[in-house]
Amino acid sequence: MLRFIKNTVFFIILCGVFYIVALVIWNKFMSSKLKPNMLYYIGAYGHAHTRFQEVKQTKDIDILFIGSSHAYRGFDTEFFNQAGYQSFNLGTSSQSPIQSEALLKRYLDTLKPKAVVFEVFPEVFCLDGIESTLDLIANDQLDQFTFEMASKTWNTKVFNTLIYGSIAKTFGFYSDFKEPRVKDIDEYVTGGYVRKNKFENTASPTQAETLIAHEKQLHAFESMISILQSRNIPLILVYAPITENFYNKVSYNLNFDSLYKQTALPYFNFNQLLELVDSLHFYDEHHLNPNGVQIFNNALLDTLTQNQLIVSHGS
Amino acid sequence: MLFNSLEFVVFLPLVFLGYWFVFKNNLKLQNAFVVCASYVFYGWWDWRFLGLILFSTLVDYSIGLSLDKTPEEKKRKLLLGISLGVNLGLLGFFKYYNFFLDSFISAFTFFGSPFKAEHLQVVLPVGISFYTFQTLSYSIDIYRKKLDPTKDFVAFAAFVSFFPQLVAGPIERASHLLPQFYQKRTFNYALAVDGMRQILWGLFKKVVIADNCAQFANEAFMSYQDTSASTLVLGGIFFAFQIYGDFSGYSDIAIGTSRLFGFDLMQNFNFPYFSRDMGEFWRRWHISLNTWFRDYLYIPLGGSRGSKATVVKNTFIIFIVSGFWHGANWTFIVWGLLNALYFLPLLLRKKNRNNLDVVAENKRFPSLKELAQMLGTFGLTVLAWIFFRAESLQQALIYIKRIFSKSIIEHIQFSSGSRATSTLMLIGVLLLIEWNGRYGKYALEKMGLHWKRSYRWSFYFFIIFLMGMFMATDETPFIYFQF
Repeated sequence: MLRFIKNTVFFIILCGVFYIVALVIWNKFMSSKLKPNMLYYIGAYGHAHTRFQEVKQTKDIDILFIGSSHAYRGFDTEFFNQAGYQSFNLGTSSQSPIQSEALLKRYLDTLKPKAVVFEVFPEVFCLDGIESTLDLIANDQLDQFTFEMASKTWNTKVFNTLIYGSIAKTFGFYSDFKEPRVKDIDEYVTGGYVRKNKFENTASPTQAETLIAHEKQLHAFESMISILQSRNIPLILVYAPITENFYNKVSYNLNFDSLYKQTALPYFNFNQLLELVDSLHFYDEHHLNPNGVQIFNNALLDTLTQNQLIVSHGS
Repeated sequence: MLFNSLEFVVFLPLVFLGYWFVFKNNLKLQNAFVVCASYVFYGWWDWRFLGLILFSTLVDYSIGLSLDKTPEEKKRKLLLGISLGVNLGLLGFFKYYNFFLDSFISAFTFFGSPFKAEHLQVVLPVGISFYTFQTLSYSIDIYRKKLDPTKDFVAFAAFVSFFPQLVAGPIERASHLLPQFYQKRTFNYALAVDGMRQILWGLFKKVVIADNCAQFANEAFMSYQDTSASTLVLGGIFFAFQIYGDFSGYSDIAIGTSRLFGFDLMQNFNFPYFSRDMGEFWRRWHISLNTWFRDYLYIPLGGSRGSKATVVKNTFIIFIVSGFWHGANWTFIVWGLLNALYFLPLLLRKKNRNNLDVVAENKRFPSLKELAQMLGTFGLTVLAWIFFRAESLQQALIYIKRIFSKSIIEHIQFSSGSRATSTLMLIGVLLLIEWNGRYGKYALEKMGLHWKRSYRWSFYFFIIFLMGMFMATDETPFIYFQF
């Protein structure tokens, strides 16, 4: 019996070592088609790598923007900085509340924001959070919050990528990686905003899906609220504009409006507050083009100042 | 609790340690511990149905004792009738009530007397078809005086609820499993290691083969009216490997887990897709159920004795009942019927027992004839699986009709072509390993045993790595849980 247990433990340990080595070799030599349960992609989407490099040099800001691509493509940090509000945009692709929670825990102490603006596109509550977790594993540091995030998404792809990421970061596999600030028509702006230099909306309409919020995302959202409340940092919920066509065809808006209002937090749905034109102010079904961003950010700034929700560090 | 879940990863070692370290020296307590663990395992899904298992256990235990004390044939028949009535009644209520109701409504409507009736919102208790048949075998064997009834209620409860095979078999005979609960078990290193190997192979078949194939089989069956014939053919093949990987994978994990506790369960699959004819296929597929039907239905009906008409009738009965056992849907009945049609010509020409040996015995590769026979048999099973998988007869018929269309030469249209390709490659890996291991009871049983430990373990590590790299990322229930 003891021999069996001893051999089983020995087998498990050796298997772990084999698994890690095989993971590194497999990732190096196999095409992506043959590694469906692993995705370690530095600098892939939305300049996440550059953003996380920059945030480590940033301290004491007035506004922290957080959320999905609607955040990093919708909140122009340069505009807010010029208006006198030091800001940083921690948005990443498909970022769901699970990742937002991890990022808040990781950066609140150094950024010390006076307010946090959370972009609450309802669909992020309905995501499993895997895509964004992979993005953060590859492009940001690994710490206890990464492991918390991985345990909440609980997926083989996430665990494989995390194991590989730990090895890659330990041995500096990608230490000389430099992400260009301009990639195709995407331009990284200091502070985390990514300007898409595309003005015409050429996207073909997609089918609306029936979506249901994940319990784990709602828990992460509640956790974000309590983290910020415990630090007396105001949290402002903003539903950034999407095309009128898209907004009208999805069925979840009423439910989510009511969910956000139940939190008793300041909530602004700019799809109802702002009139934009689908063909002029968007580059696809739900992302603003630079003209749309300008109008949206002006309106947002007015709303936040009129409601006395933001103050600058200088004041 | 699913075998491929985190809960089971925690549950199994805890039960293993308790079983061998805490209750090792007291057989009664060890059996009681098995019952408790089995009830926790089952109750994890829905504790309310534990009462059903307990009720079934009490009924058959009491009837077993009464049968032993009753010499009169009439009373014995009545007791057996009660056992059959209670067990099949529960099965019928939970599994077939709505099916019969729908069929009556359709029939009455067809004959111009439509009527309305309330459907029941019944949840099908997981594994009810399996443990019902297992307990029935106990009562029937005692009635036939082939088995002495047990006076040990705990051992009987452990036999009925034994967690490795409770929800999806193998369906054990009381004469094989029950005596194992009477004997003191001693830990057997070789048996336990063999069990671990079988668990590993079962998990590979489930999480890599079955769950990946499921994605494409589901896609083909969902878009059967729009997609190309080539996609439908591949969808059928994917389903064939899904159901094989899923069910034989479950059986392997169940048998392997039992070995860790010193129990021997019967073999349930014997490389069925290497069969050269349908007779051989049915000796190799879901062996525990097919032998159950053979012993408790086919032979009592007269079996292959008597006139050709009797043989034909008995064959149809056994296959149709087998189809109906799988589910309350006409698709399962047609699946059974189709298999009867495949099997009958062999039986009538007395060629159903032609291939009793291992295919290509002592040869590395099969001959062209053997290959053609295997492919032909596999093709027939795929055709039948279409009925098994379809949600209605209409869907199955359209699916098959569309296979025989011009679009057979069109491109295969799965949403992720690369994932479909890698799944086909994994099926290739499965077939390669199973071909090499076809002399054993499962693929890894004898494979690599003569290798150095470092090579053998590296091989197992590689299988585990393939699982980590290719497993479908959602925890998917086993198909046979619904039966």
